[in-house]
Amino acid sequence: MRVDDELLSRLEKLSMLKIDESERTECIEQLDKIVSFVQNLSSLDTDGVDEVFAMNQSATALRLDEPRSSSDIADDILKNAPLSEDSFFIVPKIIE
Amino acid sequence: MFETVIGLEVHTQLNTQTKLFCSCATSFDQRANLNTCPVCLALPGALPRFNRSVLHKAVSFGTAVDATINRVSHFDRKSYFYPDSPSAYQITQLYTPIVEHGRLEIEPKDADSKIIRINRAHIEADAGKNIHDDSRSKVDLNRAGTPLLEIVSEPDMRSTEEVTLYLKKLHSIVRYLDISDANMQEGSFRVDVNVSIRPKGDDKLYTRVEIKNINSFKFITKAIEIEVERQIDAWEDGVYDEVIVQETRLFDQAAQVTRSMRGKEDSADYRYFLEPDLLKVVVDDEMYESAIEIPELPDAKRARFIDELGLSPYDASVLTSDLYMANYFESMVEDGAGAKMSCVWLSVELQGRLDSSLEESLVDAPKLALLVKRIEDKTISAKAAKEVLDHLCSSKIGVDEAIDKLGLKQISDSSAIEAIVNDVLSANQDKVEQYRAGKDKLFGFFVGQVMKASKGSANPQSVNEILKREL
Amino acid sequence: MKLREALKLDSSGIAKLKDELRAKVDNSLLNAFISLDEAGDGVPIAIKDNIQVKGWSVTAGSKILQGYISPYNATVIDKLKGAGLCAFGRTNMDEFAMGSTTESSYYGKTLNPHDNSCVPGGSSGGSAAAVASGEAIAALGSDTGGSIRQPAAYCGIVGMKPTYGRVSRYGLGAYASSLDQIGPMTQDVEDAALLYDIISGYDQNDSTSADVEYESVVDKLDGNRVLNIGITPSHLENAAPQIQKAYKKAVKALKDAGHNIVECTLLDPKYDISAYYITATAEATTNLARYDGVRYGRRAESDTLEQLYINSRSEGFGDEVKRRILLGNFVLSSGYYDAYYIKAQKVRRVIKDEYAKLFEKVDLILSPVAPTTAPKFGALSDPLQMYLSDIYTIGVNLAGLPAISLPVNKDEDTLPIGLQLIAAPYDEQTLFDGALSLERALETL
Repeated sequence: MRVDDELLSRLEKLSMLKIDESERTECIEQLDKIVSFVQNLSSLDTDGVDEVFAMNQSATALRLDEPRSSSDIADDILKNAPLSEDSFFIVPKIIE
Repeated sequence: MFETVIGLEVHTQLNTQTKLFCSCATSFDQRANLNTCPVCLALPGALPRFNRSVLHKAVSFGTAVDATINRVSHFDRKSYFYPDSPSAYQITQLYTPIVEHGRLEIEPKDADSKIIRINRAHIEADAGKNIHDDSRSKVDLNRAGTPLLEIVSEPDMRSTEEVTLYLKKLHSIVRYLDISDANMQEGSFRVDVNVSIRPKGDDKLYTRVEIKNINSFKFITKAIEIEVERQIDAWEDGVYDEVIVQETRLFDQAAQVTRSMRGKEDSADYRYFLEPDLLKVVVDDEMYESAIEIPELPDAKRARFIDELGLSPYDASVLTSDLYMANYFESMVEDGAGAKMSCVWLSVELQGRLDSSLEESLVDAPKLALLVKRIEDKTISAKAAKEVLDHLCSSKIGVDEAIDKLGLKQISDSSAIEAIVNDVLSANQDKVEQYRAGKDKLFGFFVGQVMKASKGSANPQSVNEILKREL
Repeated sequence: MKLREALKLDSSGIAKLKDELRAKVDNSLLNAFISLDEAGDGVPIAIKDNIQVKGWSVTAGSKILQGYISPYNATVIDKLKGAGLCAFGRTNMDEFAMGSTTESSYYGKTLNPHDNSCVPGGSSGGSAAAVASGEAIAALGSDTGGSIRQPAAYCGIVGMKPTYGRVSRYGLGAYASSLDQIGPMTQDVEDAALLYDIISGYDQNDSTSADVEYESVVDKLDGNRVLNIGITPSHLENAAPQIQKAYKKAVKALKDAGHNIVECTLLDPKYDISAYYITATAEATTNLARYDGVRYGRRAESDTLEQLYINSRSEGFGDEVKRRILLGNFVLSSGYYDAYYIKAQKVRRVIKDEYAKLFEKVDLILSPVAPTTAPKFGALSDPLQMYLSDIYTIGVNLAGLPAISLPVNKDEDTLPIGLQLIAAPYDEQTLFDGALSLERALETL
């Protein structure tokens, strides 16, 4: 398993990131080194081990269906938002 | 020549008070972003808390469709970037849904009843809303985090009729269970259709195309027809493999075509993995016992209306198509009104006079039941009752009050009618002799005269009886 | 002044203490604090910059959160308030807690108080430096792969990571959801126990919070218990000579104090590193996807929506964060998910079970915290090299165990060395008891 430019491009798309041209080679090298290292897990025998790991084996707590309302937090966030208007967050036109 | 293969994915918004993972109200406000909090705004440090009512409703649904309830299930993260998804991942259930392997029975008109299998139903969070302007889009997260139940069928349907029957049945069940408003226009019942074709007799599954978000039964039928035509054309033109690809398309109602969704072909890699902020979902015994106690479903109610109340299959279907109407009808019968009459007066007479919903009508079940009883006890004639009903629909007035006010009380008292009959007969002796001599047609004349003399309020049955006797 | 002494101060005493701290910070070159924000009265506790405090500009050491003002308190902040403490100052950290040196902070590096040419450790470097230099009497940090214990070791203070789920994560900007824990960073063990008592406890707001009955550790703190302590000689091979020497010294101190020493073996830590970096980056890549410039924080110039996302994130995140985001998406993407992510979950199970087996024989495990003392700035510039320096701390997070790092060479004129004690899940009592015993034993050596 080698990390190459094509893989980096795919990962960039999934990550919504763009690595600068000048840094691409180094980035690929570093990722490749790390990926190669973590492949060491394949040498461990894990047959029969559960795929689902949970730190806490309890069931998730169930919350009562009772509304708690306060618009303070929303107001604060809208106030400090990069661009908001009439209580909406504004972004460039989304093309469907 | 060709067979259509259809599967459906229905997203139904559950009618809980609060969102799936936070205590924000689900009622939608006029003001954007009012019902939000750190969780549904995806602020740093926010964490989800699972709404117990959602689990309850999901288990009830599973029970209603004879499905397996997975007593232990998990949530997963599904990653993609979009402004209406604030955390850039949706919390859903891919690997272990709460409900699996269910079924719905449908009754096509000219065929045997058929089982449509339900592959799974799982819980997931809804996204917010994007509203588009000329050059920009506006994001409102009020809806973000609303609980959805996604119900996925197997590709068992073969016609638009089957699709419509399945959807109507599903819709009805969801409403009967009171787990969702299931309003297609408002977006609380969203249908995505998966369509493919194949040569008749072939049992392979070919390329399936998804058509998203069609908001009426009529459009669903149309969209399927158009898409099937497109696929058949491609097959017949020999370009099936090039033209028909697995993708998502939108139905363009104006142009009557299905359109490819731009950019969705970059087959999204959603990178599903176990949601680490939540623990496993367990349906404990208490919740299970409570949630499997579901109300009588449409099919059972329909059967009962036929068997116990003597209604025709058609009438029973009409009444049970809507839970409110079914309950309305039953309470009329409980009040002592006859079943058949109640059915007619509710589903034809009242229904025909409604200008909004039955729930909003001034004529409630006790009122309509009383009206029917007044016909049955001969206080008024059926004809007069129509007039009374008109009045009841527009003013807040009691049944008996209306009857008096309109002077429609029927004369059923035999002696009173006899008196009128005798008056009419004595005033028309010549005609009486003509009738007795054989002119049967004159009977109608006498009836008319009696009715005129009684100003229409004589009980027609009694009039007929008494006239026959006297003549 | 110790935390437990400060808790006895009256309001004018507290005000005076705050003045002293402010003066110290003003005159300091350490850059332990990004900003000395205040939040109410009460004994001042320095807060790592990834913990939400209402009204503060909580940036997680990143450029991408500039402009964000937190509208709510993390649960631990409310708990501090309830106990007569208050948040006092945002401490510097590696960006989004990803790092071992605090060098990746957008707000400059923090210096190690013992040697300004060395790093304070990371990612809670600011908190460690603040407590070590007297600029804070105590601090809160967060530990995902060693981020409390390692800087505590490098700076010569006490740093403790609770059992996963003991302290609420509500309000802690998430890095790796199944590994993160907030913990105390203090001058000594007793202070750490005190602060741990205050911040721990079941919280409904955090679904991963452990629903166990609350128990105070301080009330029953007992440094005289005789314990079975496991040692790991094979692990020591990877450590620098001074670390090995310090370890042997600590073992002797424990023996002298009457504890039983038991030899143990652990899985090769190279597997720990892999399981950690796969799991942590997978969770992190999704936890950081919300930082997109849409609702809060810094938005970059953009004409299209896609540009908005890409530019805001590419300009707003530092190199290490970007690397981990890419890596996380790699291990989760279709085709690699089974071989990397799922495999890592299985290995995690193996590691946790291994520790569980060990704790059948011992009450505590004594382990190094880092293979060396604090490195110089720029020494750990190669990412993989930096990751490998986590070998002693990482397994503890993977298994969700409680652990505490304490200094073992306080009086020596060298860079600090810390060693950690590790306990079984939920056995914080034994952890603190053992730590107190070791602390005292080292004092009398």
